[in-house]
Amino acid sequence: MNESGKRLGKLVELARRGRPETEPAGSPAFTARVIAQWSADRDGAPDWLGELIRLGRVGLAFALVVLLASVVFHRPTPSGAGDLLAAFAGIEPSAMSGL
Amino acid sequence: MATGDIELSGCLERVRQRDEAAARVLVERVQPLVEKLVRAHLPRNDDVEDLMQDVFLKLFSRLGQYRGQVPFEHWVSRVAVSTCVDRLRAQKRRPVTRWTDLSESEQRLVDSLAAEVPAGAPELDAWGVMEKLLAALSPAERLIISLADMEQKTIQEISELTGWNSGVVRIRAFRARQKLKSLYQELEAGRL
Repeated sequence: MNESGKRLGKLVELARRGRPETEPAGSPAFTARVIAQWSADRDGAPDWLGELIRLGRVGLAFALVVLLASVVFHRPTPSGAGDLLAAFAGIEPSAMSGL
Repeated sequence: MATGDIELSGCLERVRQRDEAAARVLVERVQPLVEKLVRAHLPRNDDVEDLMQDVFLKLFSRLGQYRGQVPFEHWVSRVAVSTCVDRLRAQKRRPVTRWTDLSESEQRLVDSLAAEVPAGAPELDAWGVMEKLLAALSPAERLIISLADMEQKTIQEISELTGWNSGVVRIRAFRARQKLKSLYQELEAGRL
């Protein structure tokens, strides 16, 4: 171990002994505060609402995957997704009609 | 199964059914453990009770995921540790501790480390310097130094507390110590 490492070792040893001991924070008032907050959270957001939000997110992700798949795998034609792709790529749709 | 386990599983079941009296018993049962962990990994200037409250609310919301595969206290430890790490992530990390960031007494202490440390060396100053160095580490690195070097926990104990396997704990401890060493060298270099 080099000199700097030895000095760090001494610092760690001293710091270990110097960690401040503090009085416990836990008290009946703290317990009551936690329970009150837990009850408020439960009342504010019922289980069915959380489930609905979760299902909504899953549905949105699925729709996004379907949309991306349709754009990627759709044949480039002058209509539909082909137009959309051409618009994004800045190509004149008529230029793609021969593809 | 011990009587305590039967009582605990009954209590957990009642909490899952939204029994407030059971929730109160649960909070009182694990509060000393949660408080010990929160105090050990508390981000700088953070409020102990505020962070403990976050831990308990997370415990209650995840209680349905506890299947009894590990002792309940281990599961509680993991939730507490992950809550502390999340809070640390949310805080802006101090880039590097410079010599001028140290107080005069902390500078004197670091100077004295080159020689034999005198009896009655200011341990609180040592903790102050250490806290500043730890603040520049990532949450996981800070956590592992606190557990391994400050609390002197074994690899097995750290693994149980964090849920990381022992190989991961070893690697992270090695990297964290290397980084701490390099930060300390930078700190000393700034004195010149």
